[in-house]
Amino acid sequence: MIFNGVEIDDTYAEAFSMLGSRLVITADTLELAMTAATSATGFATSVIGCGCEAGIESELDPARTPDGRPGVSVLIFGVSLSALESQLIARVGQAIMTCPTTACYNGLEGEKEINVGGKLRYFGDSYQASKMLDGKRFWRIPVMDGEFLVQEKFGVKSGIGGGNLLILAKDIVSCLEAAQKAVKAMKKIEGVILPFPGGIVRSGSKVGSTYPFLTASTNTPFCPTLRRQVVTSLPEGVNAVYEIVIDGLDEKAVRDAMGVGLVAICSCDVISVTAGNYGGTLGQYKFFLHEILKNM
Amino acid sequence: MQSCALCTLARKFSVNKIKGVTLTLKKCGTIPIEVDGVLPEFVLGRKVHEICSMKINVGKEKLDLGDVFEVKCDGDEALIFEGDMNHVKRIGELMSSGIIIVRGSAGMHLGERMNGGTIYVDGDIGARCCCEMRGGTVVVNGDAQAMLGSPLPGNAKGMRGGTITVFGSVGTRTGEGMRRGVIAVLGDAGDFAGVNMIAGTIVVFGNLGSNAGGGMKRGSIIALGGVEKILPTFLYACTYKPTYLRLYFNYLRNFGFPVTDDLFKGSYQRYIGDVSSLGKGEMLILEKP
Repeated sequence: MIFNGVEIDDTYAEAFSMLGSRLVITADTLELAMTAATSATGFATSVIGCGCEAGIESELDPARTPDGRPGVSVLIFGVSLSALESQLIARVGQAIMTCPTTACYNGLEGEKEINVGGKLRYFGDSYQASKMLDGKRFWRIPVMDGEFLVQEKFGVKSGIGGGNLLILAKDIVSCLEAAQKAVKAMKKIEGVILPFPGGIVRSGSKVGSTYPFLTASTNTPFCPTLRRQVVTSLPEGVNAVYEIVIDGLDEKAVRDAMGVGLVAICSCDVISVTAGNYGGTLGQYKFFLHEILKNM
Repeated sequence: MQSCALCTLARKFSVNKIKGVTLTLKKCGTIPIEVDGVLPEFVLGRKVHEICSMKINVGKEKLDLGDVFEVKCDGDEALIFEGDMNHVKRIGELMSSGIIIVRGSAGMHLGERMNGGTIYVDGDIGARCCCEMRGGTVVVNGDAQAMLGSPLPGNAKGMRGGTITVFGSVGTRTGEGMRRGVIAVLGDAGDFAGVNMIAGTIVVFGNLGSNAGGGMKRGSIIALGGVEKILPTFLYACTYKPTYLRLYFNYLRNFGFPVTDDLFKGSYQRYIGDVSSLGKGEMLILEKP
């Protein structure tokens, strides 16, 4: 299929079931809220290496936050309830509580709940206080600029991790331009994050390795430098590939993000677009590129 | 003052149009009438003659409800009391769901030990209302007399959950022994508000009377319109802007309380106390600009 002069591979992105939570971080200024959010979502590109995948979903107007201050919405995805809970406790405790003037609230009514504030409260050394309002419990933990306010329970919902697009271009400049344009468009979709740096992956991976101790290794079929050494997936003329990985709270959000991403990519000077999959044997979700584009 | 509560009612249920079972008092008098057991969950959906045959206490006698009230059924949204109810006690006692509307004032023990549902009173309420309340919401569009949300005689714990909003003033010992929940008062609060409080939150938009919080262990008393006298067992800690108060103000704004920017963004003096007790409670006093 050719769309806007760009070849769209007849394939699909294979994605997996994950568990997701949404944090609403507020502070006296948007800058401080963003600082906390950036810190809390740092080193969270892949569950394999980082324990979770996280990213900033959107900025929030004071009217959309529980305490009427500027805020930032963050999504965090993990593979199990216990893994997600430990990541949330660590990230809220180390990256949000430590940032001046912040507070942290649950932003998702989920199927299940995990206890975050209820465990962080012990930092208050017995001087913490709880407030129960409208059926929700909040913990007030004394800190050096006043109090850190954190909600006790955070909702957890089944989400999707690993939606992806692979952009194939003649050089880094055109490939990067297309990727950045796609990221900009995809970030506008509610309920998704792009967990990699700037939303873009240069070191895509494949399952397995020649080394027995490694479960994943560089995506050799997409490395231009290995074109004559391995079975390649790169058409002639392709000298750079970037991947965009998408995690979302539901199928629609991931599909919508992939759709706007595809359209943005196809407005740039790229050769083709494809997606990563494992033959449909590993993931529960399939996002077919042609189908997504037809529905745009 | 009235407009606030009425706005809330209108917004939520369009109170004047709400249809249900209306009980109109046939004759005003001084003999106490006790309507415990006359609750939305038992009344709504039943036929008029069934409701009329319910037994209630009038003074020392047990009478049919139909002897005391005129009963009219035109829907099943709410249980409505009409007439001078100053001597009608125990409205909504042990209520667990539904809506009660009192068009006028209500007597003692309204909402006692209720654990759900909503009571709207378009007037004043008597003493010892909402004692040991566990849940639900009570909106009073007038004044409340002494011991609102307090323990029953002989008990230590008062209100244990739910929300009470009073758009007038409250009497003495409001929130005594309070364990959980919110009491918000648009007017003034009498002396000894929140004495022996265990937890929970009392917000007073008007003047807070003397000796508030005496013996309190935990919990918060928020004074937005000045304090008569702070007990010497409350110690000044700091002046700061508590983030959690913003959540309460947003919550109360939905009830129709006039939350201004001064309250929302203001600084508060924090006094901790009562140090003669556990001392983990607090009194937050709005610092006037």
